[in-house]
Amino acid sequence: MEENARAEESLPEIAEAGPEPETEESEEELRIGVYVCHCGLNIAQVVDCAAVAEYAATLPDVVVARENMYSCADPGQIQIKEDIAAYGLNRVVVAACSVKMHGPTFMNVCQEAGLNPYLMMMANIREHCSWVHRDAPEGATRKAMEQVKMAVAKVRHAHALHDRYVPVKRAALVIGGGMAGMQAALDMADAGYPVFLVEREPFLGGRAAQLLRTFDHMERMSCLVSPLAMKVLNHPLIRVFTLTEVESISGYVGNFQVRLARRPRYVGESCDACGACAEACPVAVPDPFQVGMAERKAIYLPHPQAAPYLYCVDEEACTRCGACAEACPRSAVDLGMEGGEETVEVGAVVLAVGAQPYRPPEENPWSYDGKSDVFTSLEMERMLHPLGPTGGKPLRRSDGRLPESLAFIQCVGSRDPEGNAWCSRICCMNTIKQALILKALYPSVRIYVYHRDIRAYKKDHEDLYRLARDQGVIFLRAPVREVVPGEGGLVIHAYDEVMRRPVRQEVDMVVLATGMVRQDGVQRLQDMLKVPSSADGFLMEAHPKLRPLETAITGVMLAGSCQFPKDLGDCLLQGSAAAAKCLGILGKEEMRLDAIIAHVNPEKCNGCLVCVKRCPFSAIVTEEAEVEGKKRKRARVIEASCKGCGICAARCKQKAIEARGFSDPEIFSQIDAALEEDPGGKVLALVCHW
Amino acid sequence: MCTGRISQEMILHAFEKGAGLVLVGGCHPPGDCRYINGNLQCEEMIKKLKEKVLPEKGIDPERLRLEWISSAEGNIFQKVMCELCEQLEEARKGVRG
Repeated sequence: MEENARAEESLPEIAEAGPEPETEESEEELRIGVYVCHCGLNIAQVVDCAAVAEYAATLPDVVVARENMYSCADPGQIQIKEDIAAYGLNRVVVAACSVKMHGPTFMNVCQEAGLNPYLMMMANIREHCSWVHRDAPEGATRKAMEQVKMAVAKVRHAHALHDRYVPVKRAALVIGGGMAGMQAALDMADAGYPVFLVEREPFLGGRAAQLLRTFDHMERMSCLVSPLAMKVLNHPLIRVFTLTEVESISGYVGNFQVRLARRPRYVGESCDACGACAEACPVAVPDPFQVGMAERKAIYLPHPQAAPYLYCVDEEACTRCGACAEACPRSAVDLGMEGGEETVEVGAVVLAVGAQPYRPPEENPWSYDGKSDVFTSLEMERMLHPLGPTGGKPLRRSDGRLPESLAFIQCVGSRDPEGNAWCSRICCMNTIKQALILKALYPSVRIYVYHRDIRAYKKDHEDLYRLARDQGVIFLRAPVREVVPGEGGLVIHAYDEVMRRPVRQEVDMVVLATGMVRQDGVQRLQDMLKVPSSADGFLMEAHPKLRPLETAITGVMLAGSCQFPKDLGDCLLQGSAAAAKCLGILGKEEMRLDAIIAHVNPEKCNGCLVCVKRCPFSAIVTEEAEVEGKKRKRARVIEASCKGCGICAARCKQKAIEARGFSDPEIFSQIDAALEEDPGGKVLALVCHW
Repeated sequence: MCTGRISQEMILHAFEKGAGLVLVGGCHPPGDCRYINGNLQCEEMIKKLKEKVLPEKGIDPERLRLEWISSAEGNIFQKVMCELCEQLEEARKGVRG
């Protein structure tokens, strides 16, 4: 208890840290109950569960061992509860499925019966045994017995642990003002919580603002982007920070401190977007909103529905000549405007930083160079837009003529085993959408789609695919080898997989259906938040099925295409879903975190601080302590930041760090139990829990 | 718990207890680690064991294997386990022969 007092003293951020586990071996007499689950026939048709239970009863301190048809069902749960009371059980082992499946169920059973939930262990005799040894029932039964032996050995060394509680800052940060981010911000604000929405660009709307139509129902994109942006900008609980990036972020779930750095807009709120400034501006630069196909001035509004509806100065292009400021009738332009910093505190974070279109490298097989009549799908989208660089007409760069024939090439920058291995999920339907728009505008244009498969997988997509075929769009299952300049056009060389022969075709225009790749500049955020990405560069969820919205960092959610390529519908869906996940945090005054964390024994710590260096989450800090009159450094775990990886415990030479739930005595006793019989004939696997 | 939690002592203890082979399995580096770099920290420890500590103790480093296998790669886990079983069988034959 002395230890507990000290811990609370040094950890004011923890509202109610539970009592420390007893560090000495407990004197209490162990009374272990073992429950062997049949899981219907999942386990029982391979493993002889009766024999396993019988064997378990012979293990030291096991006072009751039973089999159940379904341990997770009510009768199974009630049995365990009754036994805890009747036999005075102080440890429970459930031999059943994966702890990831029913760990929480059985922890809850124990808790309800008055037993600390961390005194329950599971032996996974289903996924780790019956399912993989279907053809060897005898061996499987022997293995299940040893798995139970290991769990019993481990549970003997288990300590009662107590979950952590941390107070929650009941506001949220959304990083990224695209559609997913805006939707997430709006949903949380509508639920009554303040939201800080941070966008590094001067305007909201993200990639969607550049597009003409959705492919689900051919809706005008501006009819979706603009109303959402307006709701966000006008919401009393949402503060929008444009031209702003996260400078630093620290803390943990419920308590993130975020420093925001805002760049100046050089145009004040009194701007009414009359455009006099841009007329006066002498500097013209390629317009990124038009994918470089047109120019804009150094002071600009990207499009007439931009949100916020305020001009903005392109800092890099501006020469500070002052012509705009002179021309402005409302004195809204201030070239001396300065940026600023602000710190906000939030309980949850949504990462909605998006993705970007794949750009073909300089050397590419499609003759794409930004000058020829080969376009990317985004360039085509801008050309089809009435406010685009060509006024809504798909014109050839070479001669300004409309094409009579046009080919889309699918999977550019996607599904390449040597490069971007993933399917970008939007390109098939985007091509079908653009083909339909082209056919509506120019019915005589001949359109060919060179594809590998057409993936029209969502509701109504198949109808659009059929419509395109009905309107005469020709789909060829023929991966393209190269596109080369021909006489007046472009020559496509492909391999027709249906006819099994090479094909050659000359067309007037080629559109590369480019995929999506990782957004630029995400690494800094990842480093600050410690959010991992997968090998493809997209941000990684905690579990693809069970926790698809959360990252490994509790309190940090994902929304939109930063996770993997998504269409608009999925982005909005995930925006709302991420908001719901955040609300699960914001709705509480305090958060419960599990007790599987590291703990430094201050008596044993010699201040070498290897753990501080090793901790991937900066969850161990150095503190000065006075020991026998001398000042000494030692390590302390910030309990709310600790993720329980146990790296520190593995590296501590003094053995001063206990990885709770996976302590040395627990793991070594499992190793001993596993190797008690025929060790030479065994492979001992030490594997990651995830 | 992470592969980063595995200490040198655990592996040495397993060999002291007579384990035929030891497999350490974790998530693909660099990015797949739930704990950012626990897998890489483990890799560094295994490398030291295989290059220095195990030979010094007269333990064949081939008896320790590190494999990156995600929880979605059951087929790879199976392949690795089969290879290890074969290796174990070979080693036993060697002892007998």
